[in-house]
Amino acid sequence: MDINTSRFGRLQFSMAETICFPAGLIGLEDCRSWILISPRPGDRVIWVQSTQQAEIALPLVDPRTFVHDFSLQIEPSDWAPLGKREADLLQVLVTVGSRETGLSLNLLAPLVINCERRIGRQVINLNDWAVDHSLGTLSSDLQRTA
Amino acid sequence: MLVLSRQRDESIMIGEDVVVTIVDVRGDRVRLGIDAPTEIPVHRREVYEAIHRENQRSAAAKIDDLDTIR
Repeated sequence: MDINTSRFGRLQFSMAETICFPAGLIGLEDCRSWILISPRPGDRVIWVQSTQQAEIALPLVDPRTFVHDFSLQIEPSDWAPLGKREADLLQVLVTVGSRETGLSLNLLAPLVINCERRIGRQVINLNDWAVDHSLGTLSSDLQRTA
Repeated sequence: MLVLSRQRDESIMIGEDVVVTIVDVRGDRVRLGIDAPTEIPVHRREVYEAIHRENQRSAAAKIDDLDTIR
């Protein structure tokens, strides 16, 4: 299968690579099939690209890379579709937003992916993290140490 | 908008699968219990709207916008 994406050009993928979000993402409920791609290998940013809409892709990072005390607690109803709670099967990623003041992470609504079953869900973090956690100063710190 | 009056412990049904129950009423606060299938996510509206906005913002990002955290 392939899709001619607006950001990454033509991507080829197999059904086995797709990740199903049965409920879509919040506000993007129709987008249920996604693939994870690393356009620049080694980057901390990976993208989740819709396989249904060529122009829809969201940048993601591992929140703990940037927010060391990040924690996630979710309702049982959010856990249920993801299957077993084995931590090594689950990947937790958060979307990155670009604003005038710099980049921000949505720590309130991470994407949790069961890598074995290839099922994902955007969950609500009960630990009351911000929807727009600023990386403003942190990113420049990282740049200095890079 | 459909407006229904309900008392504590009474419910309404939305379709066949969603049941909303009035659990408690205190002053201007109402506690609702919601039974819905997992494929129907339930959110507080303001939370849903905030996350919707952030998803749209994220989906508008360009590859170069992320250069500072590569």
